[in-house]
Amino acid sequence: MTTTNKTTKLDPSKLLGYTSSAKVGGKNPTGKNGPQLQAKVGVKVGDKNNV
Amino acid sequence: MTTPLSFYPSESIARKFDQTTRERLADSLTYLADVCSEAIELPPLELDQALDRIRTQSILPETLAAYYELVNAIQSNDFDFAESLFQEILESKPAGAALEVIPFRSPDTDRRSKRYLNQVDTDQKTPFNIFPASQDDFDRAEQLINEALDLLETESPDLFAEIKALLKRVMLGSGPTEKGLHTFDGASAPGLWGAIVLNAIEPKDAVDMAQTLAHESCHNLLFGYCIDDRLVNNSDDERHGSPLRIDPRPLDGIYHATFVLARMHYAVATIALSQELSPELKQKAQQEMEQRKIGFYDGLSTLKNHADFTHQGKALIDAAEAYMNDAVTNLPQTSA
Repeated sequence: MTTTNKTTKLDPSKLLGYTSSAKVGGKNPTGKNGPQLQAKVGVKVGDKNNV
Repeated sequence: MTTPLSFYPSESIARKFDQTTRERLADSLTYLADVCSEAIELPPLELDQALDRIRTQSILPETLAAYYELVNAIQSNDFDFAESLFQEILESKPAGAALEVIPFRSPDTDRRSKRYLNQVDTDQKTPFNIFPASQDDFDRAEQLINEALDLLETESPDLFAEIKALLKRVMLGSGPTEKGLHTFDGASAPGLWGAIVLNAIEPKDAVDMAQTLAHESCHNLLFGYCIDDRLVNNSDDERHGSPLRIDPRPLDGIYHATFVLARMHYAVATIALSQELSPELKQKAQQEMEQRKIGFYDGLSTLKNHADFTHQGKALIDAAEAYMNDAVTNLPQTSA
């Protein structure tokens, strides 16, 4: 079994996009609970009359 | 990386961003393989060949998405999953030259759809509601994509070439139609470089679809500008009204929306006089241009009042403003 409760710290400067921090994670990604890649989504409420 | 800056569509800039993304991906995979070397034994020859392939040939969006899953797996010390992701990336095939339209399927059974959904569903406050489109809706949207691309190739060749350089996949799904639920027009994510996700039921005609393709591909372009830099320095906690969203957005999102609106205006302006458009669609194009203009200046006003631009962010938005000011002054009006 190679899954543990420990975490491996990675160097953000060696991760694609993590150093820009504009949309790809943060400067200190911390694993599954860390910052997510931020998508750009065109969102609106389903029925515009209901806004 | 020295980034060339242009408001106007540029195939060469798009290809430069793609090349840089793949080189950084290969470098990062080399680093991750080293970090994992005690837990995961990767075949050196296969690894070298895969890294060489990534550096020299286009990759599929799902390969980059797999990389971000790999980062998470390693950080969580889930080395079994990390090994399977490494293997998947090592065996990944290059992207073809054609833009492929693919269906969103149930993420419970379709791994690619689940992977795409994970990348675009990043806002916990606003769940991304997407379902498989009906075959009729998929077919109709795919037809509109082809019509819009044909129109752009003829009337807006630079934008057409940039879109073809940026995009490998268009995933078509369907948003909810029930009252009160959030739906979507389209979505892009930096972890899906080269892909966009569209709501098949929203675009009604080629004028809509041409703008939608210009819109979502432009998000990808702006992701390219942010490989090493940002557009604004403001915190994502700072929220303001956005010209394209009903909810308050970070300045980075408003920047995207504003720049993208100028590109949508550019797209519709270049096709508005096409002989391929019916009188009704020509009239619609004129109306859409006016709406994009209003949205752009609305977003620009928010940015000028609140954004702490980076150097490239300022240069790009200035270029968009120059385009829009010129277009407002000089574009001919049609009589439909």
